[in-house]
Amino acid sequence: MKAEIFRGDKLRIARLLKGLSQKELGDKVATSRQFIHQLETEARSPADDIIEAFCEILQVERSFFYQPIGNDVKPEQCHFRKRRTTQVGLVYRVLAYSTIFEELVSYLNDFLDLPQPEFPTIEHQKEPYSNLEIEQAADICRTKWKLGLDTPISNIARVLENYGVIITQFRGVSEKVDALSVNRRFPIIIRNSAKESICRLRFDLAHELGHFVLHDGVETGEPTTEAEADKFASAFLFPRIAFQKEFPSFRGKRLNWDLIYRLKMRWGLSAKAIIYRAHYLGLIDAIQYRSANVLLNKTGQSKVEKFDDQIKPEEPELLTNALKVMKNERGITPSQIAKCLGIKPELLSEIIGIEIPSDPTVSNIIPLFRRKFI
Amino acid sequence: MYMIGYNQSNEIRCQWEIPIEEMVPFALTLVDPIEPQPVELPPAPVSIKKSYRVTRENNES
Repeated sequence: MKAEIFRGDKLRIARLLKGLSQKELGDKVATSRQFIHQLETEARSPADDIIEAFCEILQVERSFFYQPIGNDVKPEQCHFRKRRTTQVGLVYRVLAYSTIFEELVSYLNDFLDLPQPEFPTIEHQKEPYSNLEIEQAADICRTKWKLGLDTPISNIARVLENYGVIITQFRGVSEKVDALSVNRRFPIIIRNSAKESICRLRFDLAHELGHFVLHDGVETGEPTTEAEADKFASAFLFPRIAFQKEFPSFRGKRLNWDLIYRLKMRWGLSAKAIIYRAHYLGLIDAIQYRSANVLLNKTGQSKVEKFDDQIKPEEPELLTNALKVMKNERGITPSQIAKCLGIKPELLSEIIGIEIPSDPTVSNIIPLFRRKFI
Repeated sequence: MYMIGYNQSNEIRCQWEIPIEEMVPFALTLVDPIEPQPVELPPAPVSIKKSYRVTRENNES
């Protein structure tokens, strides 16, 4: 019988997912950094007791270390906002996370009919995109998805999920980045749910959509690509056709903030982003634009603005619903899914950002407090 | 210059765009006094694959 092989690459993934260095993991299991390195390169094999210790610390099952990796995520497939300044450790953690998350989605996809990605194809010859090309790309996307060019989108997370994007959050990463996305068979957006402003969360999702549409196969994270994704997000959330119709004329006048806030509530786009777009489209001049930004900063609205709390929060639903269908239709609980992936339910919960109730255990042990009533 | 043609069901039938210098042009549309309502989508559909449904039905019968 062929002996099972301990897979060093799986140890590396589990370690990175927990944000540990080789030394930190070595310290936790009372061994050296060098030994962990040798295990990860498969120069040596671990003893049973050290595997058990790994399982406890890394929240995985023993079987995890003996299953091959499906297809690991590569750095160029991730869209980070600031690639050069993103810590290397964080990049590796995201890659490990995405690899395991993709295994989960792939597992669900075996049982479930999930929405398939449907991004428009944008014909583009030269880099970078012109402003006009970006506006057109956003219009094409809206038209393909039957969203119209003059209608606000009430729930952007739902729109993306309907067209095949899986939105999640990961506590270990989310708070350190605005949002990031991974463009693979199942496009994933990892959002930062710690943000207080719903408008900013919506904008982040549209920004990542911009990367999916404009930057397939392109390395992003540079100011040019990030600015392109920002422009796409503005155009997608508030198309120029509608903007021209609804933005009041302020030529030679003071800005009317009541009207701007009304647009903000209607379109779910921050006042700051509306002002930016008005200037970008030539509807207000440079002086009006600067004055508006100064006012927003002076009134403490640089991060959280007035009426942010009156915009409906958006929660991703696809993953939660998929888990419900698995349980209700197939009788497969999240804990059983975790077991199939070779990870502990606590780690699955951390990966998907959803609390997992523990499975009721069948036992013939009767609790003492019930015993006296029998 | 940007023009859009709608049919009676408000579906877009044609879109024309004529770039004017380097500026981003606006659409020229009639001003509609009624603001279009926000577009609402249902939650993304998730269902069990047909092959699993058939197996389950067979097992039940």
